[in-house]
Amino acid sequence: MSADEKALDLVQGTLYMLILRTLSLEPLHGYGIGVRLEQISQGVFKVNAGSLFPALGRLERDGLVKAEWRVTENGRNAKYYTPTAAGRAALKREIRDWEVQTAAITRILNATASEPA
Amino acid sequence: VKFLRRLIAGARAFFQRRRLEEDMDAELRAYLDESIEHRMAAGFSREEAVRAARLELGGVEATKDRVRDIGWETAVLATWQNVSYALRGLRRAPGFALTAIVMIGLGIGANAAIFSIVDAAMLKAIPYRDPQQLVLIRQVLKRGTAEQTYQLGVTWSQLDRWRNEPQIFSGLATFISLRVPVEGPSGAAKQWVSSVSPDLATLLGVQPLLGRPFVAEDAMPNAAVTILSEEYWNAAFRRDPGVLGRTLTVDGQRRTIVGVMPATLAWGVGGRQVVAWLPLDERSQRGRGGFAFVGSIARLRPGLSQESAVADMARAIARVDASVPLDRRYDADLMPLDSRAQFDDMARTRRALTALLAAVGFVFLIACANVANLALARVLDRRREIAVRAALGASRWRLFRQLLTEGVVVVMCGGVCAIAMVFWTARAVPGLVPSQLQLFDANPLTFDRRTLAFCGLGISLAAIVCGVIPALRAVTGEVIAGLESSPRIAGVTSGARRLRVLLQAAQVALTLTLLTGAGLLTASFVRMTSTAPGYDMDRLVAGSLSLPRQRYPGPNAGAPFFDALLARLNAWPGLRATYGPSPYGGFSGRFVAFGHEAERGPGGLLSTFFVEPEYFGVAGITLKSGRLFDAAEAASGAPVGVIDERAAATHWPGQSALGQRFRYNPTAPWVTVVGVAEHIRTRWFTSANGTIQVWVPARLNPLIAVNRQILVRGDGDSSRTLAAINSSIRTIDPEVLLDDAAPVADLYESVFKEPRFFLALMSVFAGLALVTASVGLYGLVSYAVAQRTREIGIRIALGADSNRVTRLVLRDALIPVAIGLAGGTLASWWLSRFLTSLLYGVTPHDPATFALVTTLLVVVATVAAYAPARAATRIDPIATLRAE
Repeated sequence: MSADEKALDLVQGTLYMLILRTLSLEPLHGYGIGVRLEQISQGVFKVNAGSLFPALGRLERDGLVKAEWRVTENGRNAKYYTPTAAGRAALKREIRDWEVQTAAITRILNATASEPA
Repeated sequence: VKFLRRLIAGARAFFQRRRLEEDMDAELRAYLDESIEHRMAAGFSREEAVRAARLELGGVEATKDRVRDIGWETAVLATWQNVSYALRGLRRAPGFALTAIVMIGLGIGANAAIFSIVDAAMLKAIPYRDPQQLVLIRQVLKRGTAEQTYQLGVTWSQLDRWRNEPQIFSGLATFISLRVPVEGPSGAAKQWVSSVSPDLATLLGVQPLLGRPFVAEDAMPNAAVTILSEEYWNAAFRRDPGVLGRTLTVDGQRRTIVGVMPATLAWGVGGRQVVAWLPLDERSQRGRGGFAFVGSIARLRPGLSQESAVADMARAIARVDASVPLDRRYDADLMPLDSRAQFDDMARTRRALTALLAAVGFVFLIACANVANLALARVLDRRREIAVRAALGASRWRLFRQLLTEGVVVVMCGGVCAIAMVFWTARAVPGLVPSQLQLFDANPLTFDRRTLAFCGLGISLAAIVCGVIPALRAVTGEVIAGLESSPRIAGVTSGARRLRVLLQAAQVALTLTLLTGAGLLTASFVRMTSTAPGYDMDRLVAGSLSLPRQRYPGPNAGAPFFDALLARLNAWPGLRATYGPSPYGGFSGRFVAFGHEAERGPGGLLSTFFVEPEYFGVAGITLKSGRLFDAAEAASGAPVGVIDERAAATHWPGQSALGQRFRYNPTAPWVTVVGVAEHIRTRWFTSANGTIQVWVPARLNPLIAVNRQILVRGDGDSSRTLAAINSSIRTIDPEVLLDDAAPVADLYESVFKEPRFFLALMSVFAGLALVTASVGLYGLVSYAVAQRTREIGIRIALGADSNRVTRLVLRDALIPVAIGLAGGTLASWWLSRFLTSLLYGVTPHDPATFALVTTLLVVVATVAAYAPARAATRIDPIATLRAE
């Protein structure tokens, strides 16, 4: 397991948020999602098929994304995923929670002994 | 909502799974194509791109599995596949399936049946509202006196006092049970009725099935009403809902039926045999001296513990002006209404039931060990298959689940059979339990949710033992490695063999324990039934007479009748009659020797017989020394008495008891011993301490006036004696009833009902255990022989004769037996002490019993092992060697 994947493991559950965020920019198929995540994160996050498809399946089950078969730019059939209204709402919630958490974590990590709690 | 959505999505996926599979395949293909395209666009050659893309995609099947696993339907499907696979496997091995199902079924079924008895008798709460608050008020002699535990009735003034202590009691009700003639639709008979204060049902929280409970006005002298018990309503009125308003004649008085109360009310108040309740007019009872001859049930204020209530009562007594001198000698005490643990005979029954539950639990464990062993053998036989599947990529977890399923399926089949069996036979169980056991049973014997839950527990335990152990064994190291060698050559790995030997040894040990228990009970029972009773019960008949109260009002009004009857019976050729209780019974009390009140304390259980001098002759009790009291002493009620040899030896060891004095209860006069008679066996003779007996003049008993017991020695058949008594009564006064008339031998026989019940069940369980363990041993040895076919073949080829081969196999077979015997003997030695109170005339470590059951087990085990050992000698060496 690579160091990148380890990083993903540490923030369990964030994969869903990242997928939803990626899809909220434009509908993508499975391979496209992986490529886009890698691009945006400048190579920090690599998602393999073994993690990606179960995550997509779960999002679809929970009604956060919907899927339809479309023709790709290369003229092939591929399953494209789009976030649903519920998916967008969930993303908004996750982002807010994430910001609150990371801000708090940052404060803790930057805290020094003299500072009031 | 999320849960619901997943449920629906799962169900949809389940029905569209073929389309979804195709979809998934197409998507993964598209992924791969895109990946290749992407790489080629980045300048890789086609081959390189394909290789890198494949590598990146990883295991396609594993990815598919992970996608499938997100839905619950996959788990259901997999379980279903495992189950059908297991069922197919079992169908190919019907011998194993049938043995395992029968064993588990019997184990669980027997446990459920015994548990339902134990649950009703010991575990369930008594069926009243907040039962832990309910107490019986009693008084005991002040602490520090010799008879401090002696219990007396409460006085009315005390009951009034406790009714006015709301800080201690939130309610108090009284009751008294009587046996009187009751005339219902099916004729007149003597029945138990209970007079109760009107608030009793409310206090206990029992609702009427029909009609209403008593109200305060019902306790007026002119309110002739009654409430029926459910059982009498069933028996005499066939549950007729129109019974309200009809009448029932109780003790000569017509009463209107105003309600029907459930059977549960009877339990704490007079017992299950009560047919009807009458309102108790407490004021009419107050003339009878200070004591209230009633039971009193009180409800403690919520939150008050029994200990603090007793302390509060002591303070209340100290506060009150001691105007009633009688009260000052006593302390008030409380006893929980749920007093199932309080009395000696109940404690004995509890112990017996516990022993029975343990025994049937052992049977269950033996069955589990046996089935686990069989299942283990199956797993070992399938080592190659399992190894192949593991090599082809089936995960250990998956193999484990699959192998586990087989054990679970077997256990479930057995469990379902057991539940069905117990459910259909549940009606028969109460009939098999002797009535002595049901006496203190507040709850009816039923197959209810609690028993079902107990079955569930048993099934889970069996599933773990029979499913998990073999499955775990199969997927851990050795078996999976089995692919490398042919099982025929390798033999069974030593770890698995040790496990099997251990399981078999456990069966042997548990069986020995059960056999020892059954053996001890048998020895005890034989001694019990062969003990001479100390009197001659042949042709002896006992009964009790009751005179209609209206026509015989005063305490001595019955004397002319009793004299006339006795004269008539004694004039009958061959009959000899006297008044007095059956030697089987007697009043219970405590023996106190004069001058030894303090140091000896209560002198053990005592049966007091209020008798006439002729009693000894009629009953056939031998006088050992001294004399009987004479007719003059009997007539005047002189304080003289006869005690039995055991009482003499216990209280005046090494000296003559004649001329000594004793008391048979704390309020009785001091009685001088004039004679010592043979010890007799009363109904309590099997209990731990046994009883001692005293015989005193009937006149000393203040309660004996209206109803008397009669004892008649006949010269032929008991029915002829009974007919003679009945016709004599009819001639003198046809309204006098003879009750409970029976040959004394029949009464005596009822002592053995409970021990016989326990012995029978214990023997059945021990027998089951023996058969199960033998079958297990047979299976183990057969398997070992099959495993060693080649080795034995070679030995025969090299010239080993059949005796040698038999010895070789038997020696190995008897290893688990030897281990089991050692463990079982230790366990029995330790466990049998818990049977002590159930044993009569046998010590729990009786060497003869231990030797006998060990021998029995060794013989049976040898027989079970011998058949497969003989089969080994018939192995054809040439065929064996060719087979390789």
